[in-house]
Amino acid sequence: MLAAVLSRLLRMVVVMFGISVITFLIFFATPSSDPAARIAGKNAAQETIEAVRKDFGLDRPLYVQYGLMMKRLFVTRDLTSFANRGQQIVPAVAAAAPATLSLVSGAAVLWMLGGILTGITAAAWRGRWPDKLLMGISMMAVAMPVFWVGEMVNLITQNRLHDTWAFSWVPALGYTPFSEDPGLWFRSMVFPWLTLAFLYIGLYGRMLRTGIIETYQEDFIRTARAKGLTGRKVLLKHATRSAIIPIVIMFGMDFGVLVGGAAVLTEVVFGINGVGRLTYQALKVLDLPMIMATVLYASFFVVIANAVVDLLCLLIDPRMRRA
Amino acid sequence: MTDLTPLTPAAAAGTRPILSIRDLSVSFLGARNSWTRVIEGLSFDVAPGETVALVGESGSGKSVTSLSVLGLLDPTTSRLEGSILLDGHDVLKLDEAGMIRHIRGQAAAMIFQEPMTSLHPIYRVGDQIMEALTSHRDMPKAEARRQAIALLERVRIPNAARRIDDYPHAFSGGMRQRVMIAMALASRPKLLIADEPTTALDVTVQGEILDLLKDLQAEFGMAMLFITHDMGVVAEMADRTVVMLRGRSVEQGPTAAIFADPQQPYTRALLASVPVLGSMKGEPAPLRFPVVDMKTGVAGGALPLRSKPDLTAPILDVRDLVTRFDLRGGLLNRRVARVHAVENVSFRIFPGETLSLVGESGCGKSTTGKSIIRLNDRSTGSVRLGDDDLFGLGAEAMRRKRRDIQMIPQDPLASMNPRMTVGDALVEPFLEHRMGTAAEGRVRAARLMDQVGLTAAMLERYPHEFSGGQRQRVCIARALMLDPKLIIADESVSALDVSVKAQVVNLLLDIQDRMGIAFLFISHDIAVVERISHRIAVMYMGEIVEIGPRAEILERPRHAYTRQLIGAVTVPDPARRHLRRNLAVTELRTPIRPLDYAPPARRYEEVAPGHLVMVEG
Amino acid sequence: MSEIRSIRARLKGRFLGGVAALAIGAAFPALAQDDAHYGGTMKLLGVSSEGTLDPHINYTARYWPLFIYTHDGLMAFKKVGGPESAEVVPDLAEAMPEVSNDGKTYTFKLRQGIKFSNGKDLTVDDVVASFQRIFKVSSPTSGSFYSGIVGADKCLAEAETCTLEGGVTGDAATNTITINLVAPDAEFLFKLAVPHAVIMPADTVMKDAGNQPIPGTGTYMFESYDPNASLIMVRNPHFQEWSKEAQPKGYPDRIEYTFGGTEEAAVNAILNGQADWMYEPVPSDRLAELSVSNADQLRVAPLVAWWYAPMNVNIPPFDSLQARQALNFAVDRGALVSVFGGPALAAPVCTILPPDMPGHADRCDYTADPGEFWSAPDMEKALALVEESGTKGQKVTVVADDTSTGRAVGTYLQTVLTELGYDATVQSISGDIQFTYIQNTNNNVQISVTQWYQDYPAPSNFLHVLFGCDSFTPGSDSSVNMSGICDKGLDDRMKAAMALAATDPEAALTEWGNIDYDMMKLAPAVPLFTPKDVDLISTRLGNYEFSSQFHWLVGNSWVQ
Repeated sequence: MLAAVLSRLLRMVVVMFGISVITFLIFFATPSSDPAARIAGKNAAQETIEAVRKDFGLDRPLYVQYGLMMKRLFVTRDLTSFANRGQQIVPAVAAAAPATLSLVSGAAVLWMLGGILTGITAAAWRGRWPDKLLMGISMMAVAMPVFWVGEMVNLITQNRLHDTWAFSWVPALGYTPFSEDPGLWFRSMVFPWLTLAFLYIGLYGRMLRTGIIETYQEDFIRTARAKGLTGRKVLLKHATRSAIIPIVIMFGMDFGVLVGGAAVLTEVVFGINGVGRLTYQALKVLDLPMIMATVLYASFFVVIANAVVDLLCLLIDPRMRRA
Repeated sequence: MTDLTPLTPAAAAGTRPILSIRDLSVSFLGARNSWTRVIEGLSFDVAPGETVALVGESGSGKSVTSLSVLGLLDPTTSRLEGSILLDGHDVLKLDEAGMIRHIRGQAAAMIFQEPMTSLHPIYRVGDQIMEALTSHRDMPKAEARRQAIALLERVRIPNAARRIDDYPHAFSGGMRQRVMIAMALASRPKLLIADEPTTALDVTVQGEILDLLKDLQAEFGMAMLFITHDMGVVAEMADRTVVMLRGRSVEQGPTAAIFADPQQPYTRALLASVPVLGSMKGEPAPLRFPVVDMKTGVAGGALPLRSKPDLTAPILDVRDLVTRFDLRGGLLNRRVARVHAVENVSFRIFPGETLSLVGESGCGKSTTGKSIIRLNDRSTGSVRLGDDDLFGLGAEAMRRKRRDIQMIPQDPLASMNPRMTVGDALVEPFLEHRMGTAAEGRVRAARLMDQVGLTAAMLERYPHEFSGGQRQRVCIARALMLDPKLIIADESVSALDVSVKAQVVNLLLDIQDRMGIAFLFISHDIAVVERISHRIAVMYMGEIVEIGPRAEILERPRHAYTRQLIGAVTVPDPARRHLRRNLAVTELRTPIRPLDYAPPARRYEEVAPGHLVMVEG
Repeated sequence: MSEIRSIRARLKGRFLGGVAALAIGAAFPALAQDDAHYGGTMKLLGVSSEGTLDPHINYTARYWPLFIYTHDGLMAFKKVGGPESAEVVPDLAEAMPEVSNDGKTYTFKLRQGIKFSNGKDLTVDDVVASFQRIFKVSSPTSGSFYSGIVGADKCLAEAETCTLEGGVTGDAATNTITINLVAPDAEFLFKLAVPHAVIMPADTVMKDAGNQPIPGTGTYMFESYDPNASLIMVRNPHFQEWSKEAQPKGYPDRIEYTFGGTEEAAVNAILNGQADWMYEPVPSDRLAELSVSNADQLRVAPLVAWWYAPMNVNIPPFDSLQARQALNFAVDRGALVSVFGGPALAAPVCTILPPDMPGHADRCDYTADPGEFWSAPDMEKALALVEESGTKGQKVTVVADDTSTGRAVGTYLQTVLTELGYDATVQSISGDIQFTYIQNTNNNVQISVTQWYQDYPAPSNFLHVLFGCDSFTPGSDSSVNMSGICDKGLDDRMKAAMALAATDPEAALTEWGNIDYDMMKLAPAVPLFTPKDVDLISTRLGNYEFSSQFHWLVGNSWVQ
């Protein structure tokens, strides 16, 4: 077991090393990304740029720069941003992480429940109106951009109907840490959760429905029916449990990616300053240290999510336990 | 075809039949919203304790009949008429809830053809059996478990108390079928429907399962509706037989009577086409199946192979072939064990000769075929084709050499590109190997189509427009396009219906007669092997345990495994119905070995000229 | 040297009919001192933060208007609305400096009794140390603004040991500061009034302080700064008002600047009374609606800035003078004004110096009817010039940034170029990358779309910086002369004009106007339009004042 964990960790390190090197190289291959000129400021004199270049060690060979950056990111943990000079990268990411985690975890609960419910309901009423209705809605959910949905939600809850009884409880946009005010935290997260979950409910609902319907073609479903099990039992216990495995795998990946920063659109629309927004801002101003940190952070979560998914699959599907 | 009045011996005996089907018609909703009738006016009875076989070739409607009895057809795409009376309930009038309350898992239970997929892969076998026990009656969990263990013991699963907590994947096919049977028996059904229960199993396992079913039937006193295409199984199992063709009952009656004196031409043709092990006694050369006149069902004479193998120099010489695969597993995906799929296999094939590799699934016979043409690169040893060592060739040289060895696959449909006409598929390798122009390829393809019993006009068709047998002929034509010296036929006739199977085997023999091609015939079907082979090699757990001339192997088998294999083959002879093989219950052994396993050195003893037997120890 | 191209003026959008009805900035009469207005918390919104909090280093339109309330220089721009805001007044200096030595020596007397927000007294040592610090921290303008100080050359070469010996000296006994310049510099006092020359304690860390607030002498001080969340300003407990026009006592007790969200959300927050002001421009679709429904909450003010299309004079096709002139004749400024949001939000320009910049002269050759103002494009002339240049049919790529306005302007130029017979395409690049991308000659940009804002009200800010030989550094990401033009004659005239300003400012301004006209004869760029600033403010926000230098004067407004 220990060996397994160690090997996982080793693989993670290798993956993250590769990603960091690629990020680093892409950055320096981008035209007009000279960090010295950016740090020095607009229309800086050439002497100033050279001074900055020396000061930041940007005149040293790339591998030295890479090494220093990694050291300052992981060992001394005092790596600072190129764009927001003095902004320490590690605390910034650490501060942004809880917001993203709040957003994604809450949404994940909603979308797993919603998606599974949608999928099962649609599969159970396959071809009839509940199915058609649900699939229509989920098609919409998948098709509508999160950003747009978020803006619409804001338009209603923050603008048009903000002062009515229905939405006056919605606080101003932004994130309040749970530790500060759990009530406010919850109220401010409700619509971000719903918005982010909406897309995934649609996605997962459709996938699960298809999965269940396909599972019904399986021989073991015929066996279950031949045994005399009720339709409900066949659906819930036999068909859904098999069909849910790909959903779990997808969930793990989605969750990892979102926690790693892919929820950027939802974060921006709802003023939640999470990791996604941090990444987005860093990319916008070509802030290499922040890009590096957020990219590594994201890859870390994806790798972790991968491991958790593997573990979950072992739990759900005994076939994978074969050693 | 006359629709015969159903025989009702049970009625005559004064007992009510457990199952009574009258005028059953089934239609399926097809493309363009049209209904297609697949069962037409079917009537028969099954009396308590009786075994009735529904026999017929694919598409005869026998499986549909069995599914109808349990109401398992999709009501939105199927329409049933007539009546099915099961244990006093009119099945066609029951709703889903009624089916669950009275029929499924109550009056009747069912086992299926595919034991590998019929159990839910993610639940423990015990739980699945307990579910069958508890879904119809209140039963404490502990009691259900006790009964489930008892059922597993009844189906002779060793260590039942321990194995109850295993998952299906931990069981071999035969063992899974036993679990399925145990599950079916959970409700103590009055009728057990067995839909091709042994078709997917190896012969020795098939024998075990058939024995088991016979025993259980006696123990439980239940009736059995046995669906099969295998006349050997029918002969062995059924009291009465219903022969089906295209949705209708052609002939029904006591099994012995049907075998002894078939009334209908179709029944006769069916029986005449069945390969019977032992029918080649005293035949010196491979023998074609008798040509059966489908109109009369009368079998003509059987032509022997005229050409003789050229024993001067082998076309294929395999020495010490070893193929091993690593098994990876665990969180680390480390190597945990090794499959010794092929271990020190050596044999030779001469021009014009057919060597058959026989054995059960997992014995390494297919891997041997693939290793020879380097479809996997994990093999060592030497394979000489003519003067070249295939294992020593570069990629390009090997590609050119592939011309000389062609394969005929088990599943012809899967091996053809559905978007390519058969003509294009035939000409493609011809052009690939630069054997001539496209026009020359066409001419050759047309000639070969003719030779395999198809027409040149069919070259313009797509694979899905052919029947299974025709597709296999196309595959044979495709293999012949390149003038091969050796053809590897891997289970090439196994999936075909009996009558078609006979035709394709005859075609292969025709080709050998005409072109002197050598065959490596890989099959588990010993009755077919007997027809086609000059020599036979028996494989077991990756090794050849016995190799020699066909008559030597089949008539004087020396190795215990060879004997077991031959003994397990069903014979279409109703007289053998009450025999028991008394085979020991075996889990199929697989050649999975620890990483540090060193295979023992093997020694072979020549017991007769060319007849080698592995010496144990 | 511009203050960064602020995104503020990058209004996206379509023509806005209703905006013409907008109230013009500074329309609010400044009420007499009313103590009731002091206090409260002002809430500002921004989509993102923008870098270090070190006033010597930060060079953004977002933070400069804040630094002027937290820190002081020897001089300051007047914190009043209207044209007077371009005037420089003594701040930490008691009075205007004595200028001697042919305009090369400035002597300042330091005010007494001023304390930093950390309680320490302001001394001449702090002033000297602050000037050294400009070089030690490699301030972006250390080479461009302050290189004229004696000893600056050494400081630029070797920042760590910078002393500015002979350049900036303090005399504690007389409480005076003496600054010696290498040559007279008429713009020097402007340069002392921008945040890069503010005075901070001598013991301030001699490197970028990052998000650690540095004590200052202003009416506010920074309490906390998290670039990913917020910037908080509170009253400086040690502040006593010494000059209302240089550093007035701010009205709100506390200013909270929150980062994040979208422009759309910020508009809603202001309308809901959850915030008082937003940094980013109001999205154009909302602007149309707001100009009708909430016109009283909108403020419009002219900016000293221009949108222009620099043409690379060193590579085809714009190495041809005729080609450059042709495009100048062909571009319909009126259409571009519409693209930007209509006449209420922008005005066409034909010169390099924006209309509100001193020295600007209304002259326009590149129009259908040459004279003072641009009236309409002259396609006939343009086509003839292209024909003459022999560049017809060549490939041209317009490099625009990826904002909607940037893309729209780029696309417009593409159609004009196509009409002129070029094979034109548009390439849009992410905003922050585009600005450096178009500067670097390695990227072979032929023509681009960009903007420039004044740093201080001097013509050199536009002409010399954008088209002078000193601003052209091939192969560098910092080469703000994007046209790559270096005309010896004009360059010498610009240098002379800067020198002349020290002795005869009026004559110098006239000369700048002539230089502008002569530079445009060479047509290194196409002037497009000058943008206006639109602010959306909360209903409770009072005393809105607009400085041409620092835009909305945050601390001069009240929230109660």
